[in-house]
Amino acid sequence: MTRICIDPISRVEGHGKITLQQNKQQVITQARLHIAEFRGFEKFIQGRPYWEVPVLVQRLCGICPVSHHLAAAKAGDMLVGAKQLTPTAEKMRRLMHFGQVLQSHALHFFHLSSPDLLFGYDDEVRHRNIVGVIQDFPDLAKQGVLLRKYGQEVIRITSGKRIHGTGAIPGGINKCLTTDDRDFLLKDIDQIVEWGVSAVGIFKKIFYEHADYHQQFARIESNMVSLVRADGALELYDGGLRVRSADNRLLFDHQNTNNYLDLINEHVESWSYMKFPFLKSLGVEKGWYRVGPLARMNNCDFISTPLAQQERQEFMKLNNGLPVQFTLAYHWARLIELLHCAESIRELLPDTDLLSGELTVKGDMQQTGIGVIEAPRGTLFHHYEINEEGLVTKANLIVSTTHNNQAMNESIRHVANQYISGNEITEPLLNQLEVAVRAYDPCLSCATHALGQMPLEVNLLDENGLILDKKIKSSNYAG
Amino acid sequence: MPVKPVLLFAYGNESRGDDALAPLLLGNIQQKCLSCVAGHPLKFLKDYQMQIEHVMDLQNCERVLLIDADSSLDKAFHFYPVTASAESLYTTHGMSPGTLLHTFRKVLKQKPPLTSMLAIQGINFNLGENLSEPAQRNLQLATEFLISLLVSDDFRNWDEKIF
Repeated sequence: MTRICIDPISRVEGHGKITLQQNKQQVITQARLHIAEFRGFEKFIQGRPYWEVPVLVQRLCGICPVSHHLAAAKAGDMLVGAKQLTPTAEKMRRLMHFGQVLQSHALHFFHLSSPDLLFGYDDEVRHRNIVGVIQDFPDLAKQGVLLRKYGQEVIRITSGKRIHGTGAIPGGINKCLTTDDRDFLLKDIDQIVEWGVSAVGIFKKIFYEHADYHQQFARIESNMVSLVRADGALELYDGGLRVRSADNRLLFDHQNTNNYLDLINEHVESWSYMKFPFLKSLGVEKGWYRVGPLARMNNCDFISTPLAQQERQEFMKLNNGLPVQFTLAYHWARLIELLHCAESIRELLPDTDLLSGELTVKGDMQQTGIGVIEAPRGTLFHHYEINEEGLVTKANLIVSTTHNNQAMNESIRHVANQYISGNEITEPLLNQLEVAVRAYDPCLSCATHALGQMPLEVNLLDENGLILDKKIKSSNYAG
Repeated sequence: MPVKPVLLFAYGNESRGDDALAPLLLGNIQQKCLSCVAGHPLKFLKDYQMQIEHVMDLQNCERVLLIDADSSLDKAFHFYPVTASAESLYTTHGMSPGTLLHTFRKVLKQKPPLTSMLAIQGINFNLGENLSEPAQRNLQLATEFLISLLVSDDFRNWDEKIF
């Protein structure tokens, strides 16, 4: 048995490592994505007052702090007995969330995936990066910068700050929009929608040019988990859990998120800090699933905004209405969601509930709070238990990268078998493994980023763990 | 014509050990109530990571000082000029200082502002941990250095001094 290690993965956050295990016939029998950074989430939160948690948890992740902020605030709603937020509070939170998903998806597309898509997966790594995009497609790069900036402005205005925002609090929000804020955001929103349409168009053009490749690459068949709205629409902020099997059966629908522990369990592996969630009803072997844009696109019945809905209809034709399973479809789904967020912001901004109204509601204090939201990368669970003093005694967080853990391993295995050549790690294999992982947009380190970290290291080990070959691609910078 | 500001941009996560060095340094400077350097108002910016949209924050600045933790240093801090560079990099969601300036030039079709980097040596970046003892000393030294730079009221030090 030969073991091949790739450590760490580039263009995904933090420190990841891939280990591939090969049998004598040089077939990859096992793929493991190691992520070291998911330690300490719960410990970090325990002992803190519940009202501080929505601010505190933003520090878990520098990539999607707003998702943690909102999930914790939703859990806080339950703790303070707020069963129904005021219209002002709910709409402000939704606006914040649309801004967050918009900027996150924009970053992923323009910064991380567009180099692969625009230059091809075989292009030199030296060129196939954001610098290459800026060089060759400066107008597109500018759109990426401004889309991202717009999303950040939505966050700043709704949460009060660019980082460490305090906008969402248990039971509601602490401020609404001023007319100046609203007008500032309205000024550019038509352009943002237009760029959203354009981004989907770019992906489709690239996809159709190499449709076979895109449909086969890292393709796996998986169950899909996401929130959906009561009427089946795509839902990012709230809703019930829908679980669709790989063969398109609805296993669960509109399940109350407070009962998520009835549906999902997690098992641990000795080799990974990250847990492996699975659907209880299907067991560990068959119960793994995917979350995120691809799952949401497959699970919903429609999208409430017209341009995104039109794009979804085309997307769903790929597999004749059955779930789209190819991994690179994540990119397509992500861009449809970007467009949906832009349209939703445009629809929401004229709503006068954003400008005034009751900010909070409260009821009877509870000792359990569960908040579930669709973060850019997938379903995010925050679950807290508090004591009489309001201090967190127990916290359980399931982040989207954890949900996708097994799916990423399966995609890696698929790609490795397709591209492995003997027992060497070739440059093409390395590239393709990265492309597969990147499709899921995992957030591995949640914001550790100091200068000088993260070379790309490739190790080839024999069955006893001895290194047969080692390659290091130094990075001038880590992020 | 309004006087352009000097941007002090610190990035790092205050809850991840020595990753807090840059935001803490910025906080130290803000506590000193320094408001301008060489006749230019100081502008402060904190974020978790350097990202593509930060090119917009650099726009219309006289100068920029980037501040970050650095795990590769063998001394307390390193102060040096940053030039635009199209690095062949394996990157995360973040950007390098040189690439940010390169992006600025390409995207905004302008010359980027003169930019310096103050990198402070960090060792431990684990979630929920405080600054390591060496990082505490490094923070003190870097704070003293930056204050001396800001009160000198002369940009020559920015261009000539490399520590």
